[in-house]
Amino acid sequence: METVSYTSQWTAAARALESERSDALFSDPLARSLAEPRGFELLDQYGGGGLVEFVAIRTRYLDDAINDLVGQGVRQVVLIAAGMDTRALRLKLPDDITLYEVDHQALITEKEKRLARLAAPSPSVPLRRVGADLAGDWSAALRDAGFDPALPTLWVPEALLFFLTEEQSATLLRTLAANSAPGSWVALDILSKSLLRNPAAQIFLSALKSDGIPWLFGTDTPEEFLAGTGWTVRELKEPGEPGAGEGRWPYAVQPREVGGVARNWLIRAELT
Amino acid sequence: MPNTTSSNLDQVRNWLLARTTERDSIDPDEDLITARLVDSLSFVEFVLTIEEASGVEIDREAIDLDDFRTLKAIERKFF
Repeated sequence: METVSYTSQWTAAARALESERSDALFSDPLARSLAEPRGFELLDQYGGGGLVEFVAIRTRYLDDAINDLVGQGVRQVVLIAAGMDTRALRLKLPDDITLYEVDHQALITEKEKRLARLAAPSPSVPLRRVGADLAGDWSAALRDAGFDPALPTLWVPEALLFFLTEEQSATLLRTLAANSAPGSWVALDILSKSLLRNPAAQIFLSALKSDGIPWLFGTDTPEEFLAGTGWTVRELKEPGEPGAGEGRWPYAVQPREVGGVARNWLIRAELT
Repeated sequence: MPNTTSSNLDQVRNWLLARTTERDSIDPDEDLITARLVDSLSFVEFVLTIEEASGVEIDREAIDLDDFRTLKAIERKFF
């Protein structure tokens, strides 16, 4: 698997840890197996910095966004760089929704093999897994799999933008907008630039870089960034706020006007 | 400069220890970041705690991480 795909294993490991808590924000019973072989090792290596807590809060935040927006009329949900995500099995979505998972074909093949071995339950909604190179023109492959650009869509590029450059991130979001009908949304996480610049983050960031998975993109003005790519931010939260893991975030939530604070943005944005 | 004593540095130490259940002491030479006692998300609170304990104002734009990595370095720079 490609190096970035190993990050799907550490994400699965974090989801496994959350699922095993008595106050879990969600339950992902397959996560522990999907984290094999390297998820827990990588989590141990890169852990700290709120990584485990953030994965848990982000997972639940995006679960909620999917449930809410499907309730408001979205007909297709596209998980971009889905990794070892199991929302197709976990969420109880109406069966007239089609769910798409887009990721590298090698990862999809491995995931399907494991889910079969684990005797995982069948998805509750129509599910299409689409193998694609996210750096290339993947929207054609998505349409070939049945995606209908005339239907309102929710796009979920989870834990993806920080692996892209600012230009690649903007291109991705413009591609989503270009394939979106009115009433479409994107729900995602973005890093702050101040996190990438934070002195205390540099050891973690250089470890990622030397392992071939550098974090590249963050912005302190996510509203402006999204507006420039065709999306209007309707909700912006930071972990620890109500609706975003309140009570579960081991850090104080700093007021927005405090500068130089390492932040993570959790966002719902509507097609402009 | 405000009058400072080692008990002021204890405020910083106690703040660090309050954030972890796994520890009851910190060596003065221990690297706080590799020990994961401070990370990027807690760094802003950490800097505030040092300011409050030392009475020294810290310029956020001119932070040299080496001044923050051990209790000894913090004591030398800010107390």
